[in-house]
Amino acid sequence: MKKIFILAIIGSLVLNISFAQKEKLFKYPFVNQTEFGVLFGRVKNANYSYYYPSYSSYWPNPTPNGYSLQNVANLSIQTFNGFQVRKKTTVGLTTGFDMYSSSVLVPVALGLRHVIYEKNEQGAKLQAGIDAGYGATFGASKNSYEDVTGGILINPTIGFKFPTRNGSAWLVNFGYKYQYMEVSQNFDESDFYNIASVETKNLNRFQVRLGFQF
Amino acid sequence: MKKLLIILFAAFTSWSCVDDCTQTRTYRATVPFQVGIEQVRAGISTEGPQDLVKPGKIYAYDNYLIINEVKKGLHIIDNTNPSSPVKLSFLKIPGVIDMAVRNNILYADSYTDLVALDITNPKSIKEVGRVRNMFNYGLVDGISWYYDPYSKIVTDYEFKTVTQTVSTNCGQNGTVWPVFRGGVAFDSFQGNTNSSGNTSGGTGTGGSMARFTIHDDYLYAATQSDLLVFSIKTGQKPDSVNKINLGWGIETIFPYKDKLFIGSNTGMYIYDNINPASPQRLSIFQHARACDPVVVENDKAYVTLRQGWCGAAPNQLDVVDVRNLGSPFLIKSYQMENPHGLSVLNSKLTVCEGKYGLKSYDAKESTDLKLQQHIKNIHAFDVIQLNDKLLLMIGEDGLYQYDNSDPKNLKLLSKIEVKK
Repeated sequence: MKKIFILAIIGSLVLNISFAQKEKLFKYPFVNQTEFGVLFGRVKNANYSYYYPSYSSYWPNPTPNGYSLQNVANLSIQTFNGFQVRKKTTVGLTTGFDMYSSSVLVPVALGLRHVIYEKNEQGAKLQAGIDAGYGATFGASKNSYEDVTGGILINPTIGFKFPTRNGSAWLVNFGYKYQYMEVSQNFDESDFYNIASVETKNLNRFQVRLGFQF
Repeated sequence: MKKLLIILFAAFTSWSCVDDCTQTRTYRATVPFQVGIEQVRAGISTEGPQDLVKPGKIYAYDNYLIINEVKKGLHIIDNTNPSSPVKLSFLKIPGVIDMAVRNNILYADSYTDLVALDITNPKSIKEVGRVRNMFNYGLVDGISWYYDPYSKIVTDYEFKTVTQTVSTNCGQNGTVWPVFRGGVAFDSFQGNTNSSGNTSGGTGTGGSMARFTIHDDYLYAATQSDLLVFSIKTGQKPDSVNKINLGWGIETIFPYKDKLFIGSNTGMYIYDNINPASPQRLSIFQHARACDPVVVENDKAYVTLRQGWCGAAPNQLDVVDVRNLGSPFLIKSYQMENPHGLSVLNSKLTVCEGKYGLKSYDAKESTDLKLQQHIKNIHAFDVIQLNDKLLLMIGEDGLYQYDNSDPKNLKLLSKIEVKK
């Protein structure tokens, strides 16, 4: 199993679509799933009461006074490339772009797709998937005011696969995406007062993905 | 299969799609504390030698070296042998920022008061005189203090590092937390000047951060806005004789011949000091708003401008011709990195560059200063050239003494460490 896994990773890295035509080269058939998705989430806008005494620059912690929720949506594009190691199971690598409001992250994750239920081979299938890995910041636009570091991402999904006659399939997936992110502010050297500021973000998103498999 | 379903089920039921973001901020805040004036006045005492913690201005008198521990007291150091200075005692003075010495009488400020202390025996220093309520506010290291004469309370501030965590809205609507940008003007070692200026006999040499200077029988003390003149004819009983309004942002005072050069953060004021009791203003040399110590030698004034809380001017060294005191003019500007205190003696110019180290120049030709040596990897705030051989330099790490006989090759004689 381990060997297959390693092979799958290396294979999907090396392989591109032109390679995929020569199916005999590898033992297992190549699978590509490319999907467009939207990440729906909510953020808390806390209603803080600040008390800043005028005679001091010491700011006590603000008092939380309830919060309002705000809906946010982010675009996500991803491609899963892997090998069908069993009839119903595919393993591979997932990458793409997650366009969060603070930064664009590039997920690099191991992915697993498994058909849970099918009435017959030609019919629609119920597919479960999970991607786990790291959301990296390379390629993200940088600014001098803050540094963004990505973090762990977990993305379980469940959805449908509608096979077409030529062996491809349409995909509709619903899932959950957890992404960790850290934003640290950079202060100017002459800034005597501000020493450090780090914002840790645990992003929990509901995901809807539409895509295509061949 | 079943396991996978269970995991998925667990994930789907436990999820919530609300983001959870927190911001942890560490910042420096000024926190007020109050001291009753009686407590301040009773606070002077001599104690055993102590470590340097936060050194401020330096002052050299005879074989003694006096280092200010900002607002805490003064370190008295026997510097007979500059290669191995000996700490003699620690003189505790609440609120001390500046000091000057003449004829074994040390003049220092203690919040509101000017105190005169007899330092004949540095191990047991006695208070001999006090002029009350001369200063009502002050500013050092970016922290100001003030005195309320009705409640008789001095309110001072100290820096405190605060760490706080709040939950945020994940950067959806800009930052929730306003970023604090100042509030109290800050510049470490505000005011730098007075190297070996023209001082009369029996008087010490001020560190280049001095706001206190002695000329003839008069002690000049610059506050933020005024120049206070004290008569010290009878050493033990200093007497306030005059108060001259200077404007705002006064940083340093440098006596040269019978003139006073006063550095403010918008320019350099020249005062005629022929009548020492009431100096008259001759002229102003204005420059961009910056922190600017000034020193003078051979009718040439050297002014360093640096970026900081006093302003945002470019970092540079201006050489100003002051032969005609009524109309000083700029000879040349030199690019610097972050110049702080400076000192000039016999055309040997030494400039502190903050964290960029110490630079030594040949200043014979004012249109063409030649860099002789650049000592890096040390922090330099302020410098005095005591004589042709000895150079004192203070920075965040401690007090350094150099042999200055060859400006191309300064030799480190000793270092008094700051306790971290």
